[in-house]
Amino acid sequence: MNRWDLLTWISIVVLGVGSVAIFAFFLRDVGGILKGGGGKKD
Amino acid sequence: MDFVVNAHMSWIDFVVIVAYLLFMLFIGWYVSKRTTSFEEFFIAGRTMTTPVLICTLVSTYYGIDVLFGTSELAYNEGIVAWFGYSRPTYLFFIIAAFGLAGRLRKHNYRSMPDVLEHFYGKPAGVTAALASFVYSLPSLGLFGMGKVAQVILGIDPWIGGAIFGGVVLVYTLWGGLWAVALTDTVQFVLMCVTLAIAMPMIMSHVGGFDFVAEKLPASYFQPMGGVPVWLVVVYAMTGLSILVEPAFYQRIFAARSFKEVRNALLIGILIWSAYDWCVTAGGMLARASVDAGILAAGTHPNEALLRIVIYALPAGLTGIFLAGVLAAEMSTIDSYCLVAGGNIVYDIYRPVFKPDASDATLSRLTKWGILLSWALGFVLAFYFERLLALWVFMSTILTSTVFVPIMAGLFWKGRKTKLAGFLSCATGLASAVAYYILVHQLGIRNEEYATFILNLTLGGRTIELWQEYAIFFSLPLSLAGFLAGNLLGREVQPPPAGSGAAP
Repeated sequence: MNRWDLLTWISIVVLGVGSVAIFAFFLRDVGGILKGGGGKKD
Repeated sequence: MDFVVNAHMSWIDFVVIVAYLLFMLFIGWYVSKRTTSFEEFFIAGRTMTTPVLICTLVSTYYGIDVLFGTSELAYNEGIVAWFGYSRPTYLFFIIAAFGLAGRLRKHNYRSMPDVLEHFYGKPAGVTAALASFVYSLPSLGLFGMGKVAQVILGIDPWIGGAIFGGVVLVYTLWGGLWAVALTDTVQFVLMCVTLAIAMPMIMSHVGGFDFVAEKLPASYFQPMGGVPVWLVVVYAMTGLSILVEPAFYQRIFAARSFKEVRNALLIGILIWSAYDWCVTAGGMLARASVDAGILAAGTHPNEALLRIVIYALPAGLTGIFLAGVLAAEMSTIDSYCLVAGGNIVYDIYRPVFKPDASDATLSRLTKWGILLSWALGFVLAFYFERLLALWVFMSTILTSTVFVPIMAGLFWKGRKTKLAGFLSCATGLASAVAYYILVHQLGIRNEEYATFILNLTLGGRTIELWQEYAIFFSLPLSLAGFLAGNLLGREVQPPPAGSGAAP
């Protein structure tokens, strides 16, 4: 496997695992957001 | 372009696509029930958290220009698409995360032209709104959507653009920024996961980079490739537009806090870089596949990625990938329709005609603005053939008009005048438009880069002026306009922190 293949595989993992993990965090937040719980603002 | 209906598509693929579209409409309808004020409609009540900001930022920026534009550059030139075009933009995102977002959150702005109105008054704000409106017209997205529809259904691109773009229009009108952000979140997951599934399959079908190296010239693996250095500089400079990008500003204003935006940007850079590389690799694999006879010889560079993916994916997964492509398009179109609609109503109509417009009036008219921007974008969508050239033109118009006065407003603590803001916006916009007209009228068309080049001979030396070089002239002229206006105009004190635009 050359370095470009390696970079491609790392990118695939970041895209696949990263996007699913972010979506999981989003699901944690979404209920509160839609009920209007904006929380602390700066 | 010569698209054909994909022979691998089965009824499952169509069911996936229809289900996806219906789900987007459901989200728009559901959110519409809680959208009660203009601030709720336009900047989601300033309640967005990091995860939803990541999703909406990443998916909004990555539509047709990246999926087909970057892969087109990779197809033609190789890894320069990532090193020369994509990577510099991450630097601008880092600058935005640490230098810009905090300053923008000090005031209750609602839009990018609001910032200029705050520092320089209505004329500068309205000029910026015009540039933002042109930049935000969803032509690129609707064009791409039409092409994808042609692949999926074998229908004319403009009909496909009308159908799929119509779905976007409906849910955006229903739910405003919350509908946009929630649909963006689903679209973000779809576009990332489907590309992550498609890439290994392409590599296993056609081979990895050993195969690419065997088929393509060595220049494809040079970070700056065979692209003229000034063109690489121009591509990199399109990243400047991030610092003044209206959809980006809208998300900064919609965030619950500055920290939420900063964290979203830093995590987003990881996702963007991975997405960019996969698209670059896909473009190069497609080019190698054309040279090897795996794909048809006449494959157009900006359709190559789509073709290689369809070639590699089995029936069933094709529908999910095409839904992912639609998602990439839709997430861009919805955001810019909303921004452009706001430009017409909140940034132009309100300050010029109706400063005391009620919340309900602004919400209602913004929906008409969204409709108008969608219709204009649709009309323009099918006039351009080189996507990257159109993207460079749009970002040049925006950056030339607002970059200097916004940066001066936010970071220059010295004297500022209303005239400086207006002259800077006006000279930047006028010079960028004039440059494009001049090069188009007097220059020669270059078929290799699908651009216009004006050859100027000065002192025995010939200088090539590409249409893409407009920003080298317009930005200094915008700065000159700012300095001249600052010299001639009367100093103004912007309203204190915490307020929005100038009354």
